[in-house]
Amino acid sequence: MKKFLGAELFFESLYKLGIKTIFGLPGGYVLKIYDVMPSYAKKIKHILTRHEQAATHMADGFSRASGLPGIILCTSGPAATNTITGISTAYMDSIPVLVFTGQVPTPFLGSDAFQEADHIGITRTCTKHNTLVRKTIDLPKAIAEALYISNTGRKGPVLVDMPKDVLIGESSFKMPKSIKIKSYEDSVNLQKKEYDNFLAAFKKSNRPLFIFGRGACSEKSQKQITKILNKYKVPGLTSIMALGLLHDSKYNFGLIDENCSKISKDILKKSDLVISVGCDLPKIVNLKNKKIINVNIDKVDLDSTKEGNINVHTDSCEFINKLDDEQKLSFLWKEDEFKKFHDNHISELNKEIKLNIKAKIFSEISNLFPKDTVFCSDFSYEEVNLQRFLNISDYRNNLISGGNGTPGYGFPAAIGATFSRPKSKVVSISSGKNFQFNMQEMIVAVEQKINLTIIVLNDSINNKYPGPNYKTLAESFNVRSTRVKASVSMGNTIKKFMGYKGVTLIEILI
Amino acid sequence: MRHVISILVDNEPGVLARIAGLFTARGFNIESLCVAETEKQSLSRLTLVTSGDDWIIEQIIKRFENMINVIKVDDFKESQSLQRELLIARVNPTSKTRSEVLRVADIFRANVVDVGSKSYALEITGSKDKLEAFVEILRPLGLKEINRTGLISLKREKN
Repeated sequence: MKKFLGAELFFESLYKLGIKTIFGLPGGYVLKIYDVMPSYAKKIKHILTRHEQAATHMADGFSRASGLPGIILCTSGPAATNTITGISTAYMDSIPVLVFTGQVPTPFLGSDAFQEADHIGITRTCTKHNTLVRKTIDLPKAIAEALYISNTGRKGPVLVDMPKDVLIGESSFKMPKSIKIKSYEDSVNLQKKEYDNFLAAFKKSNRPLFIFGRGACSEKSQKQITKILNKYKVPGLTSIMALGLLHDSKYNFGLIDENCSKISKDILKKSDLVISVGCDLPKIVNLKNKKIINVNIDKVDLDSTKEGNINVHTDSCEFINKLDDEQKLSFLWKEDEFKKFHDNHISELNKEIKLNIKAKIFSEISNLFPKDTVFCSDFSYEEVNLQRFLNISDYRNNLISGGNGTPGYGFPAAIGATFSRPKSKVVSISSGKNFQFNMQEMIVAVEQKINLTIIVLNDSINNKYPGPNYKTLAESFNVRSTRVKASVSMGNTIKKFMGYKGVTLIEILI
Repeated sequence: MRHVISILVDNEPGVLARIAGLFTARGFNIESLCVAETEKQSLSRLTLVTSGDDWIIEQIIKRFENMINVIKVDDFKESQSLQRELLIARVNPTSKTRSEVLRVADIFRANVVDVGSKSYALEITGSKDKLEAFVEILRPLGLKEINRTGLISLKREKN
């Protein structure tokens, strides 16, 4: 049987599992992988980043924009600790990301060797699972299992720690045909009793309301949800993570969040039953005295101690599939009621656009770009939920760090998204403060010759901490850039820059 | 409320740290913890005693169940399970209390497992209450040190 190096097994396994892109940065203990990389260059594309945190965000953005798993490769110690922010971001939002870290040779484990850190210990609380590979022969199985765990059930990041002696050791290539882990269930079947409970409550209700989260998002369920809302004529709201899911539905009433917009408050007030599908509702909004049906794949997010709540423990997409087959029911919601809600919704948005300059810019920018544009933004305090002013037509087009609220997430995620969505336009919108977190990655975008529009909102030019001049900064990276004032003519400049190929940066002074 | 949680896990490094980590993350104290191999070498059973708000214990149990290496979690009620603990005590009696120690041991059905010129070592199994009573009685008789295994439990057969 042909023998492979551990480093070769790494690529052979990834290739067999259908991985085509990895993000990473070389370093001491993974050098063997980079040594053999040229012979796999045609099969697997490696994108050299400048910071491991950015690499993780890129893989995360790559995954969010497409649904494919994102892969990161980096060395031990400082590199691995740099990935933590990115891993945590993916963990909070249940994104399938695989992190491969180098590690000191197994005999030196735990000896405070050069660039050693306890990756397994450090990432224990921010990964779905993590594992240390001890023998070269186990590497393919460990990689296959990691991908399987990461990409099934409630998805999440998985870390695989690979000591140097595992990577330079030799072994035959043995990968199990199918993966089965005894103590892990990759799917949750819908219990008939729970579903019947839901159906009874649904039929009895007068004004039910659906709230969808990221768990309800899949290509198939997106169409089914639109169908379901049309069939029952009931309103739907989404969490920030599922923004864009209801884009095609006329029963879409926007976002639900902790500082609820007035419209979602009104709808909540009128409804007598809230059906939360794949959404971590209690953490988003306080719904005391409301009857709630909670559909979630993770039982941790189901609260069975509260009386009156109905829990349905299942994959949200399966639930939607089942609901799609149900018969038509009629409820007390009226079309003119919806019209009023809708008009209020639009007028409320318009009012805010008038008052908030950032909201205005978000909405103006969004109108300039074609429908299928991926918008990548940050979630900082002053930019809370500005995403609702964007014209997001698909849940995969809104890249934002929801649970972790990572500053500086948007820009590297946008770079990642260009690789998984080469046909779509990708835009990164961040404030100057957030952009500075990962601005070094501009060089990656330039090197990789991707098409990316970066918009930086510079609101601190007259401030005590003005930050750099982003236009000249971008020029030093060889990025075509311009600086405009937030005004009527801003649109023309953006339009002109949209036409250019490659990476462009537009700094907007507020 | 006091909970006895019995967890069946893969016999692998790092599993205990993962489980203990969930407690530290919530600032919970583990009253006792006992881990050992089961009838299958690949599996370990972990018995853990803790007390806390029911809602939080339920959350912790759900998170245990979500862990990849955890196979089964049981939250035992006292009546549903057998619960035992083992205790070893060293007693340095005076010449006056020497026979009294042996009498107490006899009453509690404890065994003498080591005898020296100055001390006895006693071994006793039983419920938490029984062991505590035993310790309290030995205390004035020259109790030197004790060590306990922590609670272990097994589900009773259903009637």
